[in-house]
Amino acid sequence: MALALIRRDNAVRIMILVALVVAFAIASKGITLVPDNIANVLVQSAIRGVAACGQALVVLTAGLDLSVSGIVAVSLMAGGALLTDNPQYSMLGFSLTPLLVIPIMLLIGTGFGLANGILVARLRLPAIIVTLGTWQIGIGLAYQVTGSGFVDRLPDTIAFIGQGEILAIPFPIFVFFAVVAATWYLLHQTRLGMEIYAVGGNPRTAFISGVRVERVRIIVFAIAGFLYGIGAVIAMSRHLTSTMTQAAGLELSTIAAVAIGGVSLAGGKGTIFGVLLGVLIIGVLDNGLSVMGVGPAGTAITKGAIIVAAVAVDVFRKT
Amino acid sequence: MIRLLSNDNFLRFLVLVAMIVVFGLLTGGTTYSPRGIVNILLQASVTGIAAIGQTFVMLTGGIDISLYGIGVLASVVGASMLTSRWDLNIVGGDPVPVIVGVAAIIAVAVAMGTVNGLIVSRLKVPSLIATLGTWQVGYGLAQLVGGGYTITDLSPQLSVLGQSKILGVPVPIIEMFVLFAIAWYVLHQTRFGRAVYAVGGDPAAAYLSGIKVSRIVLLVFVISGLMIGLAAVSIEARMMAVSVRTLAGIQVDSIAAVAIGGVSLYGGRGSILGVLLGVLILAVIDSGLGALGASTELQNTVKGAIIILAVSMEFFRRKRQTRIMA
Repeated sequence: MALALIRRDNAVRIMILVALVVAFAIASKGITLVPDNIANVLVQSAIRGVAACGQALVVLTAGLDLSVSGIVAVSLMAGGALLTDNPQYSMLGFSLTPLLVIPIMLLIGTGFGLANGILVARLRLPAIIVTLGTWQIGIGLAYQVTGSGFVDRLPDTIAFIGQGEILAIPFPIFVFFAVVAATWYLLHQTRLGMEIYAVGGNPRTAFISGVRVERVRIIVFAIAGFLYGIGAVIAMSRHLTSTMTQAAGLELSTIAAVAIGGVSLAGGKGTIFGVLLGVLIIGVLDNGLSVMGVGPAGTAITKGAIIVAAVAVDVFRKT
Repeated sequence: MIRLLSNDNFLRFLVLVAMIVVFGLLTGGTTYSPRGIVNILLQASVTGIAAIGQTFVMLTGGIDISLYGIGVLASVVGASMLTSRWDLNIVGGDPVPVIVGVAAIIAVAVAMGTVNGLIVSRLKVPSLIATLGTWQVGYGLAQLVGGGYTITDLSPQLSVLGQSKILGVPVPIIEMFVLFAIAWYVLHQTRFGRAVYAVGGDPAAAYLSGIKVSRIVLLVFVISGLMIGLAAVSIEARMMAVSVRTLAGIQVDSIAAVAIGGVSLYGGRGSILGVLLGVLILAVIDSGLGALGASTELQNTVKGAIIILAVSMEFFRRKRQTRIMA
């Protein structure tokens, strides 16, 4: 019985998550279990989680997206420069309404994703190199939009997205879970979802069985870009500023979440529930270590070790 | 002539020359005074040495994104043994002899490379994830060891390895070319080199023909560690100061150089001469844009576009080949 449970991949992840929560609760004498802190973990996980859903789709088709922080940064900075009423950073000289800016931000994300997808699928270039390139392009462009990589004085009207609450639950958490649910639906209830697994499992077989492999790859990168755009909107509205640090490191933390979540880097295998658990494991780790007063050095070491250990355990159990 | 043109490295050479001409015209030639060329090669030397290690790893179909983490840890350990500032020194106040410090830098880097190799070859963790982990661990340890400070006042003798010249040519430049020559020899004239290509081409076939695949994989990561260690020594001796940002971005630059150099991301194909050309192309772009007054950010954008352009060449080459076959 117990063994049967352990073989269920996600059961192991739930146990790891629970073990971490309990360990940090004991070590911090209960501070991590205060409702405020739990909400904090979830809000911090929201941006990473939304982006991780996009990364998961790409990885499921045997791709990889290193451009996450580049895309988020461009969307974030462009959005900030359009919204701000600070003449120092404003792109137009006046503050454009969020009703236009938010769709523009999502469009920027989708456009970058589409470019990734076309380069990878049509030109058959390795995803790592293509997205390494678009990552650099994105970071460079993001700085150029404002000249400083920083925008402040964003309008209060967008504050609800990052700070609002419904029934005492922060709004970003709703966005996070809605995106996870939508991704689950896409993967398991639609034709496209089946095709994504097929393309990642064996592109040749998928092609022969009539899946339009190129199109699936392009769509997946575009959806990922769209989700990064959502991440940028949440990040921007949390503190009503756009800074480059809000985007930094997202490619690595999303890859880590996806890998810990058990999605095979070779494509075709993995569940979105696993990715959700991966995101939460990293979120709990981050938060727990910071509550414990562990500095950035200790956090990096612990996270690095846990990422490798989690994937090693996964590989070990499957062989 | 046509055969020459279809040679990829000749094409890369043409691209390099074209870029030198274009930037030379745009900057009025100042970039390519003898002193300017030496500066470009000096900057290329660190990327170049690191790219050699990356080439070995990528030829086997792997990737090493831990170079910055390993390199910064090795640099910081070395610097905190070689500094005469008692508050930053980790060995009790007095700087150790230079040779001990240099040995420590290389030992740390080789040890971390070995850890990478063992995780990938024994635990079968994908190299991307394994080196992502060791990158974080290395970076974290570097902060712990160095306390986040910029470490200065290193033993003056260390500068011999970074600032001295032989026949007017700075040592790091000679070091880079010598290491490229050795890498060429190892890859093309030894059993081990052939095994590296075989493992990248088809690991199963390599295994069946008696190659110890996991040993080869372990060794390429050890080589990658050794190279980033040498790069760390070189930059530390040239700058005579180390911080947690030392070697930042080296993994991106090395991967870019290797990709521009035509090494297949799936392993098994590519030449070390191509990588050397890739390193030089990147350095010329960086210096040219810098001379034109472009910001680092604009340089990033252009570099990103060039990486994509370079690998796109591979696509058109493949297309040409299939056309010939058909």
